Amino acid sequence: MMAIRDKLQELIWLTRPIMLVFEWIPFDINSFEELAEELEAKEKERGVLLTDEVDRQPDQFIFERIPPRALVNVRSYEYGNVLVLEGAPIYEEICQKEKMSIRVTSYGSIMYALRVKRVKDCPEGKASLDRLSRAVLDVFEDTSRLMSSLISYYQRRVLNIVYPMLKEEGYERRKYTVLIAEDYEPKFERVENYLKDPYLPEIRQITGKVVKCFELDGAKVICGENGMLVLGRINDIEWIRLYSTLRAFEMFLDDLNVYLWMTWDKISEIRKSLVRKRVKDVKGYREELVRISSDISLLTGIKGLVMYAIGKLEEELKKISDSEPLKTLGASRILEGLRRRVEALSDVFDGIRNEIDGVMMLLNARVEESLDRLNMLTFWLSILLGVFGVGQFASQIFAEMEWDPVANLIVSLLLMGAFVAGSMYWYRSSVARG
Amino acid sequence: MAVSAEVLREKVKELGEDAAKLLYLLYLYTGGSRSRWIKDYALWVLIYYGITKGVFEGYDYAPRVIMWHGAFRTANISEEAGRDLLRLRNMGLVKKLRLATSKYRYITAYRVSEKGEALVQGLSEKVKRPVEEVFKPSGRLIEIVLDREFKPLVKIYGQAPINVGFLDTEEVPYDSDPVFL
Repeated sequence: MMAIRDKLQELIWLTRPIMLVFEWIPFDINSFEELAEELEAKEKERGVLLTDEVDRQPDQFIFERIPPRALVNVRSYEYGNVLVLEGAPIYEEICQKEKMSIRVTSYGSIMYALRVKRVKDCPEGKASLDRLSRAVLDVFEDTSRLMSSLISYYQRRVLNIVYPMLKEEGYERRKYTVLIAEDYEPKFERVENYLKDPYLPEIRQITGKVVKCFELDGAKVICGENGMLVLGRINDIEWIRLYSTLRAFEMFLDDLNVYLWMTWDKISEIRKSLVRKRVKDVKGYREELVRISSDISLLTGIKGLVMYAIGKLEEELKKISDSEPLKTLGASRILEGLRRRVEALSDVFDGIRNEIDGVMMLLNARVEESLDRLNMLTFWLSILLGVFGVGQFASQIFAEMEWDPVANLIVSLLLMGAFVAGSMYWYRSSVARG
Repeated sequence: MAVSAEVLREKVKELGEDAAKLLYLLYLYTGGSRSRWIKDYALWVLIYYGITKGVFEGYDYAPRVIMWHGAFRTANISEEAGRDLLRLRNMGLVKKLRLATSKYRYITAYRVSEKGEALVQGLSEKVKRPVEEVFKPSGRLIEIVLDREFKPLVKIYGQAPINVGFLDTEEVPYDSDPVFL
């Protein structure tokens, strides 16, 4: 992390905005209830310190140097449905000022909500979109830290497969961001005015590519691929929650898809090397294929969780099917698209598994070929050594018997020849027998 | 062609100085050859470097999570540059190529078009000089190379490569209260 290296042109300012960050994490009702149990949600315990470290010495009764990474309080809990928490990340054993609420549903929709009171180098209570776009990344990092401490080892592994090196600084997973501000500057009559220069690039820092904009009870709503900006007062938040959940879910599927195709490419590269008989690193290839195979098995398991999430989202969409913003944003069409994408995923998983099996067979064939070559080499080496051994032994015996050196040489060479001929005959008959 | 170049020059005037500089930057790297393309990741790093060096005065950058060499990482991307790149493409001054790679699925690449090359000939020294000073110091174009962790480094001829911080996000601390909705 470092200071801003550019002189920012801050055009749009929000007053005490609410920031919502959405993501989808593989959850089902069992893992949800397990989480609730661990946090003693029914008791509404005052606060639990959490860490994502794993106890590697379960037989020891004391552990050391396991730093807590988050502080979490349970605010409300509804069996099998929703768990609302209050959390703050912990850095170097200091609980941060960045406090937020965390809404976890049984189907894996996660919403982090916070009101931004102050952003560094901005007037009290105000923040420009330029600064907020940087604060959003900070929130991404904080929420990843918080969630990493809450979820199970299995869920973390799934996330680490789709988003490699997630624990390293600078690596992050994609999340959907919503900024809501009742008061803002500048105020334009029409929402389209924000989509003109010089405002659009600033807005796109939050929303990404803009897909829709509209007005709702006087508020201006700008929806993009990565986030949403709501300027003005809105009475209902349900449609935002559902739409953003859909978008976050879509992001996960997109990223899972990217992982799968990259994996396919990796396997294809190994196949190409094997076809070209470049088998220098057989052990490395085998390890890579086994790792991929294990990852794919794990990911195949989340298909059920994904379908469960789609079912729950359909239920929620039905409840507010008359919502005008959701109609405008085509929420049901997005959900239908997601369902079809998930169904198509099964074929990709099957394809990758078949491809791994095929490459494994090819790898085994190459290993067998290498072993055959090794056998042949060993055979010729043994003949060579045997021939010299026979020759040396014979010449030694004949010398002891005080034979003529010429006769000794000729008979020894004849014996060596006979050894080679015998070995060749044995080899040929072995090959003929298979 | 001369007439259309004159018309296009007028259009670039409307776009502003930064778009002209961006076009010239693309020309430096891909001009004079129809087979040379600059990969998008390298272009983003060059643009970021140009912003930090004060070449593109009207551009900002902001962190975004992007796919970077097989993993999702935060990177400093300029939306203003993206907007200008799109405009230059819509005007037929820049071409975009999408291609598959052996490892990271798809990438895109850009090059200046023939129209763009014609237009560059008429650009003023005021546009060209700052671009050349930063991207072509001592007469050679700077290069973008990747280190072992795939961090992009700027390599100026005769000097050791430097990490310009394209993948390093800036810290903007904030205070917040939880909101229960």
